[in-house]
Amino acid sequence: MSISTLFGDARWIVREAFKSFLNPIGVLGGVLDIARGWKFSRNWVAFWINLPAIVLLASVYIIFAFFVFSRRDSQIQRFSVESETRCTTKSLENAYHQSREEEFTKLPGFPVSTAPKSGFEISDLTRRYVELLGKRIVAIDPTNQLAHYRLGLIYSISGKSDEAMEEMADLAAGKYGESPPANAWMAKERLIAKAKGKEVAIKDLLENLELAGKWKDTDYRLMLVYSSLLEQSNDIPKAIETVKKAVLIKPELNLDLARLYARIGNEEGLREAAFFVEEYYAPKLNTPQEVESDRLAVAEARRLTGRLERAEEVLSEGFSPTSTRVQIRRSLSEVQRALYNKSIREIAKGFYTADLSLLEKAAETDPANSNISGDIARLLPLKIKPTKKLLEVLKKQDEDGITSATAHMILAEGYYALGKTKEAMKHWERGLTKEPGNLIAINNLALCLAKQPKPELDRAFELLNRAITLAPNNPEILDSLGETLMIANRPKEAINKFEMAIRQDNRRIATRKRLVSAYQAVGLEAEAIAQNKVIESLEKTLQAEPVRTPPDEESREFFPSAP
Amino acid sequence: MKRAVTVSESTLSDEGAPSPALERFPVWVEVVNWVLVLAGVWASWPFWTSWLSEPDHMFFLVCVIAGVGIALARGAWQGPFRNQRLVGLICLWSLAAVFIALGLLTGLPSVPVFALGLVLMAWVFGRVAGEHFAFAVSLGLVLLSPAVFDWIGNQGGFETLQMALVSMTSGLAETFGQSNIREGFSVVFGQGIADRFPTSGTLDSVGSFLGIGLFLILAGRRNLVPALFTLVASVLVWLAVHACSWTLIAWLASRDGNWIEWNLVWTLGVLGVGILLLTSVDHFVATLFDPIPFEFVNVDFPLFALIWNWVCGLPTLVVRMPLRETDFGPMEMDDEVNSR
Repeated sequence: MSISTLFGDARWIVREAFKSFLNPIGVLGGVLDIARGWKFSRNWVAFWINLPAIVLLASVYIIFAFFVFSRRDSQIQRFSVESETRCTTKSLENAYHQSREEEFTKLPGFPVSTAPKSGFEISDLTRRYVELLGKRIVAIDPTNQLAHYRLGLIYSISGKSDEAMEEMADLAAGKYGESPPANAWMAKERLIAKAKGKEVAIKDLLENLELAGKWKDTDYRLMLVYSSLLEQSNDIPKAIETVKKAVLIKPELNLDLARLYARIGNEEGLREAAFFVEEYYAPKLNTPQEVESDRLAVAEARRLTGRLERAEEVLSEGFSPTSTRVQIRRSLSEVQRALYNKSIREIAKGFYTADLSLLEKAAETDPANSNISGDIARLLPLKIKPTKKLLEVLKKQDEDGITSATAHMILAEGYYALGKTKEAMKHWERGLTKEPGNLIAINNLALCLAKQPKPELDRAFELLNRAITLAPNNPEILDSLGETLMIANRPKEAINKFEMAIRQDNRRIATRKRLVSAYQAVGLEAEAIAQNKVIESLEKTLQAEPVRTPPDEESREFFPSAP
Repeated sequence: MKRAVTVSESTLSDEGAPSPALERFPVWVEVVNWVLVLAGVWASWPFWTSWLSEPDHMFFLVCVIAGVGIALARGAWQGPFRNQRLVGLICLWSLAAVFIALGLLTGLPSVPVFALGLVLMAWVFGRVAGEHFAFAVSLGLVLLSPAVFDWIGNQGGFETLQMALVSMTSGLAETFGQSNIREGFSVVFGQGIADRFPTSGTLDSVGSFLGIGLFLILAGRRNLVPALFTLVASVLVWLAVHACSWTLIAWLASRDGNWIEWNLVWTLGVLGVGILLLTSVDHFVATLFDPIPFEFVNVDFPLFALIWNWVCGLPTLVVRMPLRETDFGPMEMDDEVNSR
């Protein structure tokens, strides 16, 4: 097409376009002619043959458009009702609790739930269907809080813990608005994770627990845990308030409130809570409805308020020597122990007296109570001669292997103080079999092994290395290791350990003295002199501070104070 | 007064009607063409080996080549090679050479594919005398389609299509009350899982449908407007057929409670129904958008008819029309007239 043709065409087009103004009726006629021409020149057979395909295709898209333009809120409502009808949120919560109950019961301070343990199973088909509906709701409305919560529960029931955690974390963080149930879920999961030894941020846990408390259906056990954490962080008023809130859900929790008051020494609150406990439980006693926990609760309320005789009375009432009520047996024995401990008096400085018949009685009530062995062992530092019966009880418990690690520790320390190192070592060994991670026992036993006339250095090093693994920066362990290395004639290594111990605690005069010896052993006289000067200046400083006495040579081993 | 000249008249009146037979081409032009074709194929060899490993790509290429073949066969080959066309040929060859060089330099094997399209464009441009130059351009462009196809895939165009398909399947199944939910690139149904929405790699993927669409456009010599409709329709039909098939699966699964897996029967069924539907849609659109023959144009007011024909295009199919020997014989006048 040449340029002139192009312009020629353009001129023609302009001329033709002018006709629309000059002769509009004629142009209209032209348009009608074209319409007619179009109509006559079409292949209508092809049109009708191919029309069904177009209709079919169009109908598919019309149906799709029907979905696209349908109301979303009505869809959500329909799905929500269908989902809730198939499986209620409460059922999902129950199913979740059922699936995790075993883990909950293992949690410290988490009382066993009285809720039924089974009967909340959800069939696989229902679960999948409800999950599907939940996902559909979320697909339409991504901020639907209830759908997210239900999905989180379904995931946790189905074992999809990562997905469940993701959903619940978002909910608990308030992504879709405040959600106390999700916080309750998060709190439980965090507690379980903590019990399994995983790292859990206490701040987050506290936040979850606080928000969970706002839910009227929250698990009262969570509130108890929250109160105990608050108590640990010294937020006592909030702790009390939390337990009081839990009491409103479950009156039985007055006992927990009483325990809390007892711990913080609030006599008035304790009396009030104990009164409510007795008021709640006492009418059940000696009726066919009585259960073991009722009597125990009354007894504990009395014990907490110092009415030990009354506690003994109520427990004795529900106990016979042939009774199978194990908890009552133990509780009675404990009350009797408490009575015994109450009877301990200091008659002169360092001399004590006690009513040993009460301890005998406690041992008689429950010979398997390992705390009794601890009490008998504690007689040694109290310088009270145990009765023959008590010694038999201790021997029996020792033979049966039910003595507590504490009892062995006390006995070992007592024997050590009396200069009976072999006996002491024996008890530290026994204590370690019961509590292998006890640093005091490891440290003391290792030192004794190293210091005996025929040192067992290999065993001592093995013990100290174990201790170092458990507490790498413990200055006491480092010091003991240095001392053992000195005995093994390895002063260079000993210097390293002593210096490490001093780095942890620079007021350790005894360690510094040992370090001086080590310096001298390797010929570092200048360092030894410098260290001696430090010791002198430290001694002066510490003398000026009578409250903080330096640990003396003999009291290095950790002797617990006598009761 | 002017009168519209009909196609048949213009054809009939032409002395020496065009022959569809191919005129001889100068050998050196053929040689240059073939050298460039071979160079293009060599440079893009890795592209073809990887791209043609998928069945839908193979199907697509077969459709395109068949379409181009039919279009060429239906084209009008008129007159000898004219030297004026050398300008266009040299431009296109140069461009093709640049693409081959670029492909070799950048190491992108899909770039020389463009050169192949340009060489075809040059070849058709040099030979076809009875056609509009756009015919050559369109054929050349069609041969670029594998590279375009690949580029769309790399740009994530197929993922977008897949999402569209998922939405549509969800919507259809939802309307029919089938339980389903979209999960990423799949739709999960209450009783079964549809996790296969092929946009590439299988015979029923969108590539195959685009191939069918291009075949229909080329073989039917569609003009721009109906061609665009057909191209869009190939995607729409692909979406509709797949969405319907998955909704059907959902319905069957919900009814019987059995897990239904996608299989070859479904693939071939979808492809077959797709071919039928697409052919029908293409014919339907072509029927509506055919140009208006000059017989129906009012010569006093031809503007709108010309605009229509300009938009829809007039296929310049030049075919030898059979000439009918017409013998009108002597004119017979009636008596009244004779008497005058």
